[in-house]
Amino acid sequence: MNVILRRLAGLAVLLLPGPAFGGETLLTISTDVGPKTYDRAALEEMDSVTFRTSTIWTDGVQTFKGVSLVTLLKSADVSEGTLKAIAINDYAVEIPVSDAIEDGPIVAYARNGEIMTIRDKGPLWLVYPYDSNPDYRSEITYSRSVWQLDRLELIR
Amino acid sequence: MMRILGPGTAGSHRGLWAGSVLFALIVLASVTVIWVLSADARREIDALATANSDSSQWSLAQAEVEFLSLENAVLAALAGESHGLSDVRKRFDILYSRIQTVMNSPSFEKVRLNPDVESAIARLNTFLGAAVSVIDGGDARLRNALPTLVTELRGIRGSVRTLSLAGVSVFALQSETQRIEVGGALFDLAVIVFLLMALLIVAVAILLFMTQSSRRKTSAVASARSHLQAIIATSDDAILVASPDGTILDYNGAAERIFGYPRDGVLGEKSPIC
Repeated sequence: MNVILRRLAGLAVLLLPGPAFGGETLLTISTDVGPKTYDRAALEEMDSVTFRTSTIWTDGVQTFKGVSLVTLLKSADVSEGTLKAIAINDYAVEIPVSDAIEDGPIVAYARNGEIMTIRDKGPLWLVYPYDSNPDYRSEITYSRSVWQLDRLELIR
Repeated sequence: MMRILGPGTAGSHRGLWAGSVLFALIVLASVTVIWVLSADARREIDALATANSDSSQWSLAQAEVEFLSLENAVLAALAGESHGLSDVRKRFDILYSRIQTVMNSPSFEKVRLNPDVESAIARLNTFLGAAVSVIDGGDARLRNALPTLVTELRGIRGSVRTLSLAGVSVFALQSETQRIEVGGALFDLAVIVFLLMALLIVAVAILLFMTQSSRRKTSAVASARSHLQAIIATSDDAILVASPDGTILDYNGAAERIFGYPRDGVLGEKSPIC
């Protein structure tokens, strides 16, 4: 119900006359160069990755669609170091850039074909393909799986 | 004097062969048992490696933090803070997401079985479900509902507390069970290592015994041979040793004198006498 309401609200905003409306910023990547922001359209324009996996926080197998962390970091010219991933709920965890590999974590913007609201651990969720790689079924990876993700800061 | 050499000692060879096969079978059986046991221990340890209770307990306790953040946001909005209402919405959504996780996550399966937790989750869920329409409504509606929200939040504070406390007892029990499992797996491994060591020691002892007994036999055979050689060489009678097919194996000094053929020319030849 509230998803529908929000979509209607989004539509209403789009229909408003006036200056070009930039989408709401979903993610900010801060590096030495400065912050780079991404809205939903920017994320959806990038090459997407979809995988199916179960998680320890959800019931049953889920389909996640998003941008691979490799692709995302490449777009921000980040190739090494450590990231601090911060969530809307102020959860924060350090993630080495070396975690960003092909078939590795993605910044998901859709779960089971639907966009995710904050109530649904969205709008962005850093998820790893836990089912396809046993190494990802560890306490460390679980702690790096940040839901309600909204900032990535390169700290060193 | 003449002797025909018999066809060897095939009987004792057969016994040695059977012994080796038996030994190989025992080793094979032991290795199989150890492999099965260690695979079992490995599985247990693997299962422990993917166990996941640390962050789950944190996640549960976080519900209370997020609940208090919501309560704070509502009070701040009541006090007329500028971003008050959007902050209330954000904090509500965060708490909503947390409670959904507690309700759906397989990690909290055991926590949810606790009857206190069950009723706490039910009360929280009722509150969240009822508040959704106010939160998603217009600003004016939300502002009017703030005093009611404060009262409702105060009413369910105890339920949130129940959640984080239940987590402590359930996860403490879980890690206790895990500790016992780790202990069991390590004990299994110790038994396996002990068995393997014992097997190795036994194998080494058997090999040592076999080497020594074969050395003893070799020297006994050698001394018997040199004994025999001395008798043959120094005998005044002509002695000719031949194999069953008539090949001359030995031929002593007396035989050289009596038959008139040199020893080197006769050894390995067929004996005309046989």
